[in-house]
Amino acid sequence: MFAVETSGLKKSFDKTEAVRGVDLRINKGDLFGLIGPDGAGKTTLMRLITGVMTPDSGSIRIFDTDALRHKAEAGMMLGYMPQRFSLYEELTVEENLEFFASLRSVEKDSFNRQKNYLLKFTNLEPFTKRLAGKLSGGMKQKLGLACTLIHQPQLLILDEPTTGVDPVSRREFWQILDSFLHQGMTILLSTPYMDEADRCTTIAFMNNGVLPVVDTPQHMKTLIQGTMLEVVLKEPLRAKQVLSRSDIYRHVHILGDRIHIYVDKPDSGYIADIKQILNNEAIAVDQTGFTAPMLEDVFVSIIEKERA
Amino acid sequence: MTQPPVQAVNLRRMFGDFVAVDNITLSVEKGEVFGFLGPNGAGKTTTVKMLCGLLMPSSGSAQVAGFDIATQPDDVKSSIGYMSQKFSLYSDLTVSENIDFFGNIYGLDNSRLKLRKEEIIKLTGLDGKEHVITSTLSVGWKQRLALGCSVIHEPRILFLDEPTAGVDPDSRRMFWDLIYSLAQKGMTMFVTTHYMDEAENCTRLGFIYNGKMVASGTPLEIKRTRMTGTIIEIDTDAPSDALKLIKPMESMDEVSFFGRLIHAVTTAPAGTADRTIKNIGQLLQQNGITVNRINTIPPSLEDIFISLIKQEDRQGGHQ
Repeated sequence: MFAVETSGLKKSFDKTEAVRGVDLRINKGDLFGLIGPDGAGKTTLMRLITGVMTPDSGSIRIFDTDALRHKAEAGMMLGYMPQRFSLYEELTVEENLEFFASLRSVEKDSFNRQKNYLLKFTNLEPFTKRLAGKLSGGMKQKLGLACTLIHQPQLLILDEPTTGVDPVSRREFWQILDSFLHQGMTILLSTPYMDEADRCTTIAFMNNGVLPVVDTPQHMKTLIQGTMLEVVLKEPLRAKQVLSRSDIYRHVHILGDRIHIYVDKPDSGYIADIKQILNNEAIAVDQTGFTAPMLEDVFVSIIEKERA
Repeated sequence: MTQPPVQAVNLRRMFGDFVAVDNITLSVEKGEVFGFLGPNGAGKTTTVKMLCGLLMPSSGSAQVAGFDIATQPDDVKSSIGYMSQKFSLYSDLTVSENIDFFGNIYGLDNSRLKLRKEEIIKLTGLDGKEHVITSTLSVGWKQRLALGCSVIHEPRILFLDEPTAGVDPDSRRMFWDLIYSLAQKGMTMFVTTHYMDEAENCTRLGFIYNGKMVASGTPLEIKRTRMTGTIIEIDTDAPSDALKLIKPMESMDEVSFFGRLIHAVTTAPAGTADRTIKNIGQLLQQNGITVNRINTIPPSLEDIFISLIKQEDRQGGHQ
């Protein structure tokens, strides 16, 4: 049994085909990351899975329940936090939880237990009586998560949950997610941040409404056959322009004080060659070395391939 | 030596008793892409407002584009450009009309506007899209247009507030290439952000916390010198049990899940990591937990900044 299983899922808006036949399987207990360029169809796919939106065709099963036929039942098994989750700013933390519990018809005993547990887990206990509007961005995000989980769903669906959250709050948010994961929850989330994708057990890369690559982050990185040559220098842009003229070093990416050059193997001959090219243009090199491709490099290379 | 485009000495700003910016000294050289980082509430926005001539300092001084922020704020304002994520383009105007609009705001005469428009269209790669309605552009193109509009008056310094927050990696790389090309032409970039992927793109960084500058340097220098302790990554069959065992070990700073893995940050110096790894391995083995892999990993910028924040909190705990 899968936590989520879709087949032939399609959804169009006017002339745009947002989701064009998605077959997706998410194992129970997975932390499943959805990545891809803006406009790839990630949000639409999540809305279809959560039942907020109805597909034009295809099927969806949530823990083996037909989500299109038994919408309410499937809905109870999942919690969905959209990109702009609306809390009631004029209600307190506790009142917000009560409100979302009443929407989900959570019984009083169960509500109290789950409320106390979630408040503790999200470190919101000291702020129970505070108005949601008076919380910091990171705290609002945690309250949103708590409201999403008030009916104890086994599947949590999050659309770019950490956009706009600072690094300290982001780290805390992820620690909370990881703890839920270790209690057996299944999590599906979309993210523009590759370091977050790296934490997932499985990643699906979405582009133009389909999922051309679904894999573990570790294995996805091996999709790039070569390696990255890192050069630390003072004039990265000029170096990129000079190197891009050669046939071998076409893929040059600037990262502040250094550049990454894609090469087919970690051959020190490349270093000597590049130093020579840059030296001819009077570009001083501080340091060189090889580094493994990052998930971001894979992301860009998939898009380049699809464009070609 | 010419004066750096941005130079602040002991800049301080109080709001009542609250010290928002506490004696910040910084200077940014011409053509640098300077990243000004810090969590929410650290004092980033207050500092930038002062540097833009929008807010008076309580004490200290700063020169921006050679003008004093306290005595010549209007000269400062006309020498800088500003672009944020919330930059408002007029979505029902065409690309060309948006550029005209911002050109008029900055008081460019017709002949200069015509020239600058051509330059900006070329710079941003918007050739052929001049008569496209802005709302129909993709996010990536809108951002390039917004950047173009914010430099229409050829400012010496461009302030960018989280310019690529939430943007996918492909569009982000294209946008940063544009920033680098402006920097290469001599424009100074002052980027405010709390996103570490943006920080990685800067040539030099300053990290502010509790109103104070707690670290500065190139991304590489900061990675090399500012991380105390070591991060150990552990892949086991029973992460929940393993976490409980590792947490109380000696010299552990923070132990947390990282997806299915465990990240243990030790306070021990880098050289002693091998011994710690051995100890963790033995402890887990004694408790019947299979260790698939255990090794140190290089810290990310985010790891370093969180470690700096913790150090500051420990030192300034009484505040």
